[in-house]
Amino acid sequence: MRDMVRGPDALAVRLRAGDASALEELFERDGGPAFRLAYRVLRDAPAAEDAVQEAFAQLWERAPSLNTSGSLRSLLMTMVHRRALDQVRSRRRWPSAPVEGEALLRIDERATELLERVIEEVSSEALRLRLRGALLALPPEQRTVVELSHGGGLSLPEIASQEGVSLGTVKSRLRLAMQKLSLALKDEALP
Amino acid sequence: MTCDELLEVLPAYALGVLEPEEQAAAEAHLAECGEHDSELVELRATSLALDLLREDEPAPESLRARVAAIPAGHGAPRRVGASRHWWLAAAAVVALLAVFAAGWGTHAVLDGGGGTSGVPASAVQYAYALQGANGEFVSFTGVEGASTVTVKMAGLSRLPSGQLYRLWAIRDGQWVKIGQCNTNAQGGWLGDFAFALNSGEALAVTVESTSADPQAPGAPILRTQG
Repeated sequence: MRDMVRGPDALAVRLRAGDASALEELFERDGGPAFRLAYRVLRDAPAAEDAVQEAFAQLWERAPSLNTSGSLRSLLMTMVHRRALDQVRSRRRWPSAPVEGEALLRIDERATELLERVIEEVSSEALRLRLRGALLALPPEQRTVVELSHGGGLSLPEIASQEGVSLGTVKSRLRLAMQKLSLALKDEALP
Repeated sequence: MTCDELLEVLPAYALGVLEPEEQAAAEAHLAECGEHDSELVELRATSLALDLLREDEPAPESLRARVAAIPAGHGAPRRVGASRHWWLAAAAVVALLAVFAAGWGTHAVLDGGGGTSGVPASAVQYAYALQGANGEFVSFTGVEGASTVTVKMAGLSRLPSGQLYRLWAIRDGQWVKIGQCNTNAQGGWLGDFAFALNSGEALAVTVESTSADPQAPGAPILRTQG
């Protein structure tokens, strides 16, 4: 389900007119998800801040020619994702800098177009509602594992200890939950 | 690790929550076997999508100041790459040694003047650091009056399951919890806590059991003097 016919984004119109307070309002609205998106790619808070700041600076530079009928959130998130990937490439040039999750980074680079399509789709209200619905429809024990691992940053053994279940049970709950959420996303945004 | 074993942990790998040993085993398998790429793409996409759902969690306060400075031309990205936070840590150590001449259990205000790159001149930045005798290092950085504090830890062993590092501010004699975390296999951690640190407050780090009373501190392994 995609957004219906939309009018110009008021924030985009104000940005295009050079209204600096619109940039702050955009940060209020989308700064949190933008930071988490960058952090998910980089796993480094200062680097994620750099990526988000660069994206906002780039958006501000381009504001005079902004397409006000497009989704501002989608544009910002795509810029953040690209700046984060730029930093990943830059890190590889520093031999001493840690590069975690090499296979994930490879996926991020190989599937950039697809991931950005997902980012664009999830920036629409309709798909966010659908995904949030899928999250709420999970059995509580599966939702808890997703929230503690994805949002809370706890390791699987820490979750097992907190929930009083075996590590295998935690892995199984997470796998089932992510399969359901992937399916919900796949119906709309993935090929 | 076999393909079946990998499939068990692939969601956790995509979320970045595997233990270091399992992460390394998953990496090794994925480097050799391309069978799981399409599933990993789906899981990665789902993980990014979940991040975009968490709209109620604000970005770090320090980032807000940097973005607010962009229209005035003070928000040029800081192009110092991977070395920036190491510079901060190194500066903290230098200041500690300069001010106190001995490292253990002390702290120092590094920059009370504000106005560094990307931060408005009116924003006062602070940086406090605790240093142990065996290379343990914990820094607390942020902007005065902001509701988040960025904590960097280095040289602290990763604790076994069931234990966590807990960070405290000692406010008017009362121990107030800043947050809790565990370090990675390399002994490091970096992240933000929703906590407004006031200047002049003493700081401490304890090791706690996850089942312990979250408001009752144990013996500190690092703390400010006095």
